[in-house]
Amino acid sequence: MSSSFKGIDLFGSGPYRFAMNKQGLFVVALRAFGDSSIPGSAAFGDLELEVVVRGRLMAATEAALWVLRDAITAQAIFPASSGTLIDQHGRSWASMTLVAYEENDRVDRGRDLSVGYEARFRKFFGA
Amino acid sequence: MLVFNPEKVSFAGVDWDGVESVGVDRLAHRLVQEWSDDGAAMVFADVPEQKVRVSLVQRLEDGALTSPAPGDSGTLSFEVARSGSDAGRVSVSMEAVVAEVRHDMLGKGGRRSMVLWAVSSDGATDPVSVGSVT
Repeated sequence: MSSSFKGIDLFGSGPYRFAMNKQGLFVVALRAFGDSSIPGSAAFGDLELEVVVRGRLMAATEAALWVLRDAITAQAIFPASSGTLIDQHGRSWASMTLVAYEENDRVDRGRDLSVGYEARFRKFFGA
Repeated sequence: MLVFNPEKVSFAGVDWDGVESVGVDRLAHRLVQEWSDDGAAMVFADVPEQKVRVSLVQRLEDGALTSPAPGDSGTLSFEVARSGSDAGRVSVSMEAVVAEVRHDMLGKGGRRSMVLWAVSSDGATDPVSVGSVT
């Protein structure tokens, strides 16, 4: 099966991989509150869940590649709505928001037109 | 491409006599490789940045006080005869930049080995053009 976000296949034009970002507690050093003499740290809830997709968009033409790029960035415009993210093995994460989409430093023009990217999804607290 | 004893070798309008061989290598400058989450094998490879390296060996009967220098640029051209006749004779040309010039003693004479890099006019056109000699 292919991956999807809000039911849309955003990444299927080329290879991609899913990864989890850091998980656990949101820990802050107590001296960050202004008194450098206070030792230790404290947890202030959970880190927000982040799923990162890294891959490569592929197309035969410049126009077709822009269609793929625009389809992703259209999901990352404020106020962005959340949706379900599903990887190619069927694992799903509900209430995810695409918070960042960053491309590599160049479009590669070889046998195919392609560009590497990283798409970062976050589950905001309370979502 | 590897050519022995090319004829009518010239670079930047200067004839180069005694050229014994010209090798044209095509190399990857940027290799893109990708894997998926489905297994261990690579699923995509492409070479979006390539370069053409030309190695040229010239026999020198006498010493030489001047030589091509790194950075020199111009059209490198030569002809290749596929047989002893003019039938099937082809011309090879390319814009090229000299990168290395080396000299070796070889008996009573010497040998000059050069490396040049071929450049494309626009990035999309193959730097090396091969045509038939009319």
